[in-house]
Amino acid sequence: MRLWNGLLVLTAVLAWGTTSSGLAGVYAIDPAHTHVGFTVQHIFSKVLGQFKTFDGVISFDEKEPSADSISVTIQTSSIDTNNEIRDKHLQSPDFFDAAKNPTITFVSVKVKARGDKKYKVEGNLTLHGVTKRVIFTMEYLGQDVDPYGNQVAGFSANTTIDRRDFGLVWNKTLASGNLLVGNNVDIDLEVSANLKK
Amino acid sequence: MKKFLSLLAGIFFAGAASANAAEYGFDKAHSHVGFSVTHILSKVSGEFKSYDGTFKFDSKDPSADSVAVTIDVTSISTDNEMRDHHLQSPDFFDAAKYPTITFTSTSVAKTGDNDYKITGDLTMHGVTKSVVLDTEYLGADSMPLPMSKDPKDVAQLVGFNATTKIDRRDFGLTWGQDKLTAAGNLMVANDVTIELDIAGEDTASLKKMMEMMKNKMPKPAPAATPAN
Repeated sequence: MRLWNGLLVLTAVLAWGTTSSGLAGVYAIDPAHTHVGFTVQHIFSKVLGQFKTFDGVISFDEKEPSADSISVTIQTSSIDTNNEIRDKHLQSPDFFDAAKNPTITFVSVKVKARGDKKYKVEGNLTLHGVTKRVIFTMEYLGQDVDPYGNQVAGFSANTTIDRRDFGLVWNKTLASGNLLVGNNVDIDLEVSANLKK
Repeated sequence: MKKFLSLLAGIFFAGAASANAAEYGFDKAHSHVGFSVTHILSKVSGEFKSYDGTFKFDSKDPSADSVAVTIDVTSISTDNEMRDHHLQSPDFFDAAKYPTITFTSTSVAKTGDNDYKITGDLTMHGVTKSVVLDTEYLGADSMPLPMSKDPKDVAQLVGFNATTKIDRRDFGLTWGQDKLTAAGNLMVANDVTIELDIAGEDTASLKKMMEMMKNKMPKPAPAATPAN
């Protein structure tokens, strides 16, 4: 009886240990609960936008960050800044030139742990036909099991790029000297991903 | 003479108190009425795409400041049609019964160089509660009105960022308290972060812009020549 109780306790501890330190595995990004957003300054206030169509895969092992990887493909034409005229302008050759560059991709090259649940994800961002190395600051939000049996992991990542590095240079300057469209673009990702079965 | 001078002073003083509290409307192309809610672990964002209102702002006299906004509940967008329909259903906002969300300020306090606290009544889902928006004034600028050849047509612009956090249950939005994960996280959290990025434009310029756009639109049928 004591041995059996002992085994039960041991199993419970092992199971709990696995859950709390994250299940290593390949996760598919869940578009219904993921946000690929960006913010740009307009004169002095912020204009927000997002890309609505994308897919991606995250290979995540909380214990071995060097083994982690992420790959995302975004459809340029899915850009949405809640303004049809502006969205068309953004897809034109003045900006993204979506006809020539239908996708935006990010493929990680290196993932480093930077403290409790914090990571630096370095990789190649290809945008407007230009590939540049960028680093995302990422936070692992944990993992859980939803009522439908999906193993869900959450991540939050952000970085700031200078759009001019990617050839996105269109602008207008006001008499005050303020730029109509800021050069810095804050990219923020809120990711919910399901463990692939 | 004394009467005349005091009358003059009275007019001048009364005028000066509100002379700088200009009235602005929302430059909707550059404003965003957004919110985010945690889904298990990560945040899901949404916005209301249709809203209207005006605000009065005087950088030197916060007591002259005020804002009143009406939001169209059916304009909610979380980039998921099924979810947007669910949010408008009686499970959530019940848009058929409560088609608008309104916010009317009751007081504005300046708490720093560019920081304000805007207290006001938020009415949502048939419930009114007082909330406080932590607000930052981002600056002012002016810009010639596009489509106008008159150099006097200059729009006055101001920018703000405001946030607050509410518990949706305070407004009777209680759906999903039983939808829990293995670790006890809610599928839809109760805390909702509201984030407003506001580009304001003086109401006179906004009106002019609308008139110019109306005049540019093709007329449906030849109108009778007005007897001028």
